[in-house]
Amino acid sequence: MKKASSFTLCATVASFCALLLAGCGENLSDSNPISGTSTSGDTPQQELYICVYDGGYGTEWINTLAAQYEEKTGVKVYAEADQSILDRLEDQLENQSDYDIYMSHDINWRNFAARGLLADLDDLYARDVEGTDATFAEHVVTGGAELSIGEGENGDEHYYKVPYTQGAGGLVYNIDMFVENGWSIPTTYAELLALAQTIVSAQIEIPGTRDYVVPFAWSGSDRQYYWDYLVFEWWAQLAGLEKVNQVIEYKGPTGGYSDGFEMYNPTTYYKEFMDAYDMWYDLIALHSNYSTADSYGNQLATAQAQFANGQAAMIPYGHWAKYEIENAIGRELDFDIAMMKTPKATASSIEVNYMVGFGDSMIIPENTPNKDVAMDFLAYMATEEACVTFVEKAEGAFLAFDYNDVDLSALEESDTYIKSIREKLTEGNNFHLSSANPITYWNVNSVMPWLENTYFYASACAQPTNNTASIIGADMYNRAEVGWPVWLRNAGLR
Amino acid sequence: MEGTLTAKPNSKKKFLTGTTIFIFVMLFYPVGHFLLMWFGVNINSILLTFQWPVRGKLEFLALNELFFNYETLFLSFKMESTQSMFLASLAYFVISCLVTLPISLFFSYFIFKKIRGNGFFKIIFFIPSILPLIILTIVYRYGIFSNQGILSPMLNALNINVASLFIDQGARWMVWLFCIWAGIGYNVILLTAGMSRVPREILESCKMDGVKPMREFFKVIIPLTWPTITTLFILGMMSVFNVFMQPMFITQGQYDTMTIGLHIYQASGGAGLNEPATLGLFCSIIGAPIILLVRHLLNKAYGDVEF
Repeated sequence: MKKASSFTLCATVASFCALLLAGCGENLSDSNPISGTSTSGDTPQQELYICVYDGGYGTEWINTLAAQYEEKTGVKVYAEADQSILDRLEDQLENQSDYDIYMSHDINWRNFAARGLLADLDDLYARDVEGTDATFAEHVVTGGAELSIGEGENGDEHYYKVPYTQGAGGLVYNIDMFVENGWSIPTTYAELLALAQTIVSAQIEIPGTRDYVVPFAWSGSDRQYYWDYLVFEWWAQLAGLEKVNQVIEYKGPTGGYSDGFEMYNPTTYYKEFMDAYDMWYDLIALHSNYSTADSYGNQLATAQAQFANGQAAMIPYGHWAKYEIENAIGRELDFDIAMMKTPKATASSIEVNYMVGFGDSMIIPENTPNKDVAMDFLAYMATEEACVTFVEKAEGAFLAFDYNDVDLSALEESDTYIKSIREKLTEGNNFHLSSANPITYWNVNSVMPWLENTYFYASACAQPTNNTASIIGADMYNRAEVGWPVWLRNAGLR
Repeated sequence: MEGTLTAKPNSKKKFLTGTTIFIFVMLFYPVGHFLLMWFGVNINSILLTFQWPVRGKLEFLALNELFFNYETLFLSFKMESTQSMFLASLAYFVISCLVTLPISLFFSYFIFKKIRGNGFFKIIFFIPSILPLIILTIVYRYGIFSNQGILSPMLNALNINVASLFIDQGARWMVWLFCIWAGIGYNVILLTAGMSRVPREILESCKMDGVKPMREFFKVIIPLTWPTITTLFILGMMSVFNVFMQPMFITQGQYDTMTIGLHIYQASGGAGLNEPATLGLFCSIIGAPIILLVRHLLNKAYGDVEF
């Protein structure tokens, strides 16, 4: 009896384990899409699996691109949008990757490349882009190809990523409101200040409320960094692009890493950055009546609704504004919008565009057997057809390829927003703040324009006197000096 | 000699009894879990503290600079952000052990004694415990700071600027307040369960002797639920190291609300795993003996409770 019960127990446990394992096996074969070719049917069809970060661009663009590519090549493309991609990316790259291509922000690609987890994309960069005379490397937006070179496992340098998007950020405005009230688009900071005062003075009533239209709706709670898009451009205009590029190398006056904190010196290298912040401070922090009530504490959804309801004429945003705002309010905006070129710091300033999200990446895992097809898809994304599709379906976002020869006239005619983004991207000097200095990517959220990822926009509105440019400039410099040796050591730089 | 020879097959036979198999099967999972999820994970973390980045990869340090990462950590203590992070984390000891726990004890007794309105408070306290933290933080934020929120008009009427509540100095108070609000429910569930085990005879005896509720609470209920209180106190102490979601969802770690747990979580998403691993191990080395000592002292306070 005892033996029988032991046997029964063992058999039950064994069966249970077998079932579990069998279940796992079945799931793996079902869910693991990496196969290169489908085994069903007489003529195996090539397959490609793509994972994109489920963010402000939606999924329509990737589904459309997948369909277009499939039609063109016969390769079956499966695309999945996922917000948790970054949490499982490393595991996927280290083990059996479920996807052939990943597209997302914040991919730690240099680290992955050094560990031999990413496919070398030299062949892709050497390819000619269909319909152009340029190679893929030449067709990537200026500066993008250079920033995609990293060290591989054996120390050799190769291309390991493709820049995902080239962005624009700044003030998105309500065209209808501007036209109705005869307001001109400000071209300089002084004009922007004057416009803000004009809007407030006009006392335009918001139907159904006792409030008046104000110049800006914004979220200090979770998107205060949207003001960066203006401040960074003013910084670049005041300092010049050469000086900005020098700062983001984070090497000190000696040319070495050890005194890189000097780049935060508010009286020398960082003077213009603090001046740019001061411009913002004068415009927003010192004029609480220029923003919707409590905007510095508002969440993004509130700011979006305020702009959509016509409570504010402008909202600071990135190029994903239209898609995201309409998605948030659940309907199309009932007025036209556009992103204005950021009013220049001074009348003589050069026109610049800060490329928002320029560090976002498209990568191919080393462990996929489908590298060639994956590279072919990325090459396809550089074609005119794909570039147009992306802009159309992502409603104003642009891939990080050269759009100079891309015909967007049909889209621009019907969509003021797309037109404005295109103009902002192509009519100014594009710049980015992605640093190649290891100190920036070995120390998460530490060495960046706003040191230690500490923003002051909301605080400045809540307590203006405690957050002047001189106070926070000195504070950042001190923190940089104290923290620098730590960050250097963390980055393996001594 | 013969006896010895015949004994061997018997012991082998005994070894394969149903009880042995049962014990083996029952231990298989926890031991495997311990080896994989504790030893496996932690040994890797410990090894990471002796590595540093070389040309984009983490490699082991030379013997003469084996404690390089620890020296770096000590160097970081000079940084304002590190000091603020430790202070913000230590605050959770006060919040969890010295504020939330006593309040929870009071309300648990209130519910246990079935004082009028206890059913209402039961629901009020229990709801935060069954909802996901992300939902709770959204409810909390929107409740206080939103045109649609219930508390917002009330606070405005009291001339409190709600927009500033989640900014600067106000932010840490709002996170602490949330932790108290959300933490009470969890404690109340465990404490009322502990109190419900107090024998009725003892309580009836107290009643017959005319013991006042306050005296009953301190002299009977607390000693008899001491093991539960000890457990919650220890968990509260551990919150110094593991609170991270509350500040992440409410303030994104801004305005001096960064905690050790949140810093480790964020830094673990980057390339330099040596830094969060070193901080984590340092905290374990400092925290574990303190927690064990406190646990020992708390256990000694009332001795074992058996009823």
